[in-house]
Amino acid sequence: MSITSEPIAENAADTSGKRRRRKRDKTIHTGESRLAFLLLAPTLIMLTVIVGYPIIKAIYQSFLTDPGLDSSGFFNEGNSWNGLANYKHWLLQQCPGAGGVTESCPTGNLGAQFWSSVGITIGFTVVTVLLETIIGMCFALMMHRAFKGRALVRVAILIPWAIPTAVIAKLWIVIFDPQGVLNNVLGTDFAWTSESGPARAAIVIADVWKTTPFIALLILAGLQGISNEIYESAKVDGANAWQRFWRITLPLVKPALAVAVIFRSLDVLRMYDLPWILTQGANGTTTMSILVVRQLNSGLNSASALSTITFIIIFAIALGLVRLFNANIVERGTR
Amino acid sequence: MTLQRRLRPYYLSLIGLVITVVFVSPYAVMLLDALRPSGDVLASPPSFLPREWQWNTFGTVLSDSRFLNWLKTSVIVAVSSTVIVLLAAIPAAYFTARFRFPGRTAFLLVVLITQMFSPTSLVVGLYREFFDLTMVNTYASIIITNAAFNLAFAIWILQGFFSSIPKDVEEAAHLDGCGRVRTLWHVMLPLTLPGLVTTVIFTFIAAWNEYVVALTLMQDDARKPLTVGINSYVTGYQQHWDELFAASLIAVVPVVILFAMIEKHLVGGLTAGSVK
Repeated sequence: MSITSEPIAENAADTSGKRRRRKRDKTIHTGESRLAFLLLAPTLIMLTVIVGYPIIKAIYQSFLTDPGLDSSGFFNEGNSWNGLANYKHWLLQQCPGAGGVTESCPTGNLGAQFWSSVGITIGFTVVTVLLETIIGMCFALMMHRAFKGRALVRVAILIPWAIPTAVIAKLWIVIFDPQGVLNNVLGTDFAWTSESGPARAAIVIADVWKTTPFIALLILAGLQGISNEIYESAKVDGANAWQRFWRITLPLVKPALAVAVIFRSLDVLRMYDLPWILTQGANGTTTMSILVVRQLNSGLNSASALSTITFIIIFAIALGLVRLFNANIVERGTR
Repeated sequence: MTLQRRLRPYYLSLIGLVITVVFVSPYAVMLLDALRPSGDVLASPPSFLPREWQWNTFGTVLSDSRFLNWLKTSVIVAVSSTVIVLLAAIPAAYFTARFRFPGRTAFLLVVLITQMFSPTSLVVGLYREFFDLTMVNTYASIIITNAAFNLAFAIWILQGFFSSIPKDVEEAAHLDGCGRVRTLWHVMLPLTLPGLVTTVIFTFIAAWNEYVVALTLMQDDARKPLTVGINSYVTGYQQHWDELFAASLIAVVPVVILFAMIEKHLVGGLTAGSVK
């Protein structure tokens, strides 16, 4: 392996090596913008065309009126400039009232559900991501060890995640049905999806079951980068298993863990299909995305405002998470 | 101590067995529901085992040409999206991992923004866009959409793997006369194999499971992917729970095959030994 021997040769000829390196850095620098263009262009073009367009369109529409009856009772074709009214509708629960004045929305109006949906969504996110991270970490540490049947376990825990949510939610309907499998097995007679506590628990169980493998596999991949020598030398220094986990494993899998937690959080914050199929958002399970879907039927532009607000909330949380992980993912590699 | 060490592989296998059972048990429910007449699925009182075994459900589904069309679409879409994601994400991730450039953090955050809009609010704009391009009902439309929305994860995860490889490795290859492309291909990619395998699995599964975009962009029944197609087994008019669950179980097979093929590359001390 010439790869292993070359750095030593370079060290031996230290001064010339340094000069060579500096020279190469310069050539990289002059060619960098061209290289950057070549390497980043496919991604940037795809993002601009496929994702950028609908996002900008949605933001633009959020400032327009929806068709419908206006305050004086005339039909309004919609799509005229509306300023921040759509935003005020969601954030301040202001609805157009009689005679052109705005009043606070009556209860039962979709606008009135906004803040509760924010709370429900964040609650789901915290609970599921926390559970998935802890269980996923245990699975990953276990699958990292050699034991008989490891390959089988790995495939088995992958399967839940390989089934479309739309289908798995149907399976959960059968399982959580009052006449269903779960009550049958537990010998209980419980209406799982018709009270808010059990309905939320059902959604959390279904989600944890489905996506814990996502986190486990990511952490497992992250564990591959840690050499055994580090553990061995820590053992020699008298570190116990707990210390080895906190001081070695956790810091070294942090980049993989950060990606797992950030992407999972963004996913749950946008969760839609699972609660929609299980409860149609009833019994305190209306997430922000479900509210968007409901609003789509009664006004696209107002729905756009809602999804923009949702985006801003999610963006703020994402920034917080990146900070929380100490910008490890972002700053790495430029040492 | 020695006894404990000798027992360890067995208790791990035992825990593994328990986990396997927990994760596979809903599939047992699915299998049992596939093997009973549809009316029995939600019948009262419920029965754990089918009251009447119906063995031909899988045969019925597999000989259904609609199902085979949906399966074909899903395979085409998932494979193509995964290839496109790899082609676009590897260079981008490599560059962000190796170069300090202005807007580097901003680039990573912009990429992440694709994961912050609920897809349901974007499909209206996407439909309009593809309609203007006369690309509604084409494989290309959902392939490119799936690819674009999965780039973020691929870039973030690969970026992490690339930057965890010591720069010395690359410099050594460079001194050996490898150009950038050859270094990336022959040195960096083999070292990031666990990352690449992870990316392939995640992208494939995400594309395989995508629902909302396909529902909107694919109106033609023969070109629907499985996720959209199988919903027609259980509608307000007809309820074929048996066929729905049989179809869902068959739909897992390609993913399991893919994973079984590349799973061994997920684990293995690849960085060990390349640099001392």
